[in-house]
Amino acid sequence: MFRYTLRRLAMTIPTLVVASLLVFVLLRVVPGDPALLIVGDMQNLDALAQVRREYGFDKPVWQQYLAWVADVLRLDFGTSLSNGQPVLHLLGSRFSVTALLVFLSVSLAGVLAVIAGLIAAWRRNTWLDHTVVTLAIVALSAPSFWVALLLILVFGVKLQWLPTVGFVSPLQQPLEALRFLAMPVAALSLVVIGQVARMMRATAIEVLEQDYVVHARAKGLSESAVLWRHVFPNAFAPALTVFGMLLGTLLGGAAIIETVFTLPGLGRLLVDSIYARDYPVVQGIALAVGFVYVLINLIVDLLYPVFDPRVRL
Amino acid sequence: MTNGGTIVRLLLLAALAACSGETPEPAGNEFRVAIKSDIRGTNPGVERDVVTDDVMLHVVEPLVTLRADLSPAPLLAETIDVSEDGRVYTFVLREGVRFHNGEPLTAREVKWTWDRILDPETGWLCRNWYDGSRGLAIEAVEVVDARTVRFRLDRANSLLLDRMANLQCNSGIIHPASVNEDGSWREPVGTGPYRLAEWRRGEFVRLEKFAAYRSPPGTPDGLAGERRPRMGALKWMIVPEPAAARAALLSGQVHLVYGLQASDLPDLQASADIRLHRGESLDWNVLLMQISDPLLGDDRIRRAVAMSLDVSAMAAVVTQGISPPNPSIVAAASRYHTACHDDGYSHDPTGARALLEEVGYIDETIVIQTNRRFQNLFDVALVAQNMLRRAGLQARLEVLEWTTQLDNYYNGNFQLMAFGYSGRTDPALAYEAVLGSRLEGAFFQWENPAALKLLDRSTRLADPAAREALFCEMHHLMLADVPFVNLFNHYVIDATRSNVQGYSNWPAQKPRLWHVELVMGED
Repeated sequence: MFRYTLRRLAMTIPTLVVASLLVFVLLRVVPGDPALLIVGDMQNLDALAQVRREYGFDKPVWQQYLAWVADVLRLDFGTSLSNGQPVLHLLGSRFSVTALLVFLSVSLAGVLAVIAGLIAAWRRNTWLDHTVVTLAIVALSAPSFWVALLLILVFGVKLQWLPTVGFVSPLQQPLEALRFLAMPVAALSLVVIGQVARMMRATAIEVLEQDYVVHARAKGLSESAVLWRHVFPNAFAPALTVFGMLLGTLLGGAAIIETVFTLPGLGRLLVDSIYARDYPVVQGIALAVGFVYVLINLIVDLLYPVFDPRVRL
Repeated sequence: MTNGGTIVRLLLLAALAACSGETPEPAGNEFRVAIKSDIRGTNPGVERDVVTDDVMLHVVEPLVTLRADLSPAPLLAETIDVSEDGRVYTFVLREGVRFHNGEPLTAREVKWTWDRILDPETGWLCRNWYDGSRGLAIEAVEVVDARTVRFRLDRANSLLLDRMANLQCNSGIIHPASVNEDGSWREPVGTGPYRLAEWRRGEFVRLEKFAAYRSPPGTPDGLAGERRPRMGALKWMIVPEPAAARAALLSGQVHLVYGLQASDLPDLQASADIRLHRGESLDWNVLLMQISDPLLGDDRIRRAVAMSLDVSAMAAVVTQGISPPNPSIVAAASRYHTACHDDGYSHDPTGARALLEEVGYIDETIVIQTNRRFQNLFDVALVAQNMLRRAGLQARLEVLEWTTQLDNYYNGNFQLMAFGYSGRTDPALAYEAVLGSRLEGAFFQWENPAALKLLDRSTRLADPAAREALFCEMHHLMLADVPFVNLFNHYVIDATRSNVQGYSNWPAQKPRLWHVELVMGED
């Protein structure tokens, strides 16, 4: 397993090189000069030239790329064009917020979706099953920004129970942090619940039809024992892959929820940086998200044998 | 159990990482404002955009500022004396003014600040206003005594005070403690009514009341006159999503949202807890025309475009009746805006068709560039497209991302473009933004040697009546050349909670939060 892990980690290097090259070139192909945004509409060509010189935008793209790669190898990701912050510091602070949001959402959604999926499969073709399937489809179909705005309207504006914008650190003010995170977590969870519940139901139905489940029932095991000891582990393994992919996607792309609720996360930073043509930040995020995505998939692969002993790495 | 433990550990790790370890801010006596984006930095005039300017206006103060009629007025200066030849400006500083670090304001700090502004290494964005490349050079800044500082110019120029008071290029006087020993920027140590307390990037900027603040005398007038900070703290919260900003206002989480779009009004008008503030701003909306384009290079086509537009109807639709048409670059709020500036192109679709026939126009499509970031510019393009079609011109919209559109503006890569200029306080500064040689920059929309001479003269004259006549003449030259069509001054819509007192907006749009306070009964 150790050699497998090392091999997978080594494979991230070409992946990240290709990803960084693509992002680097695409950013520069897209029209929009970051120096113009810095100077604004002051029609000062000297200031414009000075900004371009300062950030190296006057050099050929390949030279800019090589210089950036050399800096990255020294763990210097550059500084933000928008606010002068070191990119590495920005990534750290923003990723922690996104990680908290995503892990809370996925954990909450995971528990609810797994239970709902199992119960739906167990009570297949009953009103319980139909209810779970309908709710899962609704959750999947409702755009997260629409759900977010609805939550804000009901719990923020009408009832005024929860704050609508901002973020509070959980170690600073734990209860207040929960209030600030409640709506974003709920909105983001819905996406996960829909996907995982349907996946869990489908695989659990297959497992429930296996001989060993019939055998377990014939032995006289209680239904809950059958479900949790025999059905759950076997049905959960495929769902784990979905979790992994969702985690990777959400860690890099919770931008909509972060923007609507004004959370200072990585997704919002990415969107803001793209609009601001903040090249160093976008490049840094692309690398970081690519690395996290690969890492999460590796963790999922390593966890797979735990749930499905037939799999050997 | 193992998996549960892993999840718990991950959650704890994330929670630990999210914690910055800073103390919670006190909530009382705090005024909260929603802003669209984070500030770019705290280095005035170097790291700037509109939001940054708005915040820093409360932290640093220049020698002069603006009255409501956009004329310059003393701020840190008590008196301003101009020599007979117009080349020497002597400023006597107000007594008792202190920096946020407790040090008194003297002529030395003024000279230090201005030497820094004029140093190319500083990267001050409007340095070209004072280095001779735009007709005015500051030759020396001299300390006469502790309270007196003298500026020597290379020539007489009536724009010095307007430029010093400019809102985009903040020439706020700062203490040398604002920079590190190596000259790099540290933090702003200014003289403003509020000082920077905390900047949590991506979240908020918090300013605290400066207890030793010394207010200028006089009735509040624009940014001039008395400043009595009433709130203990100002918290500028970054809320990029307009719907979220409105929700935050409606729920009472913020007290002020400014710079709203007209389309935001229906949500807010219905609430008794919200007070709306509407008016005209200095910013002006314009339909740019590319003179180097084969089609639009013909002034008859440009005139046909101008005659196709019913600007009154457009202004009524786009600004929801807030701003009337303004065919001039000179802002309606300016003291130089006279009846002369109301002369514009008349709406005459029949005349436009006749001109097109004369040119032999046969259905070539003209592209109007616009964006969705500024709803007013999108609306302008949409309405213009419709009006051009009615006059027989085939027009198509090209909706771009704002950054791309700005790039095209600078490079002259467009046919027609719905564009907005940020307000200039003096007509000469406004004309400087559009008038110049296209060899110097494709962003100069109007090239006319006679107008350039008039512009140069306007910067040398101090007599308001003489300047007024020059600006009128320039306006008519511009109408004759049809380099673009001025439409209207952009509106300004701000919304406050009903318990906010002392807030009002004005054409320069900058919030003046040293006047605001919260009355009892909420928050």
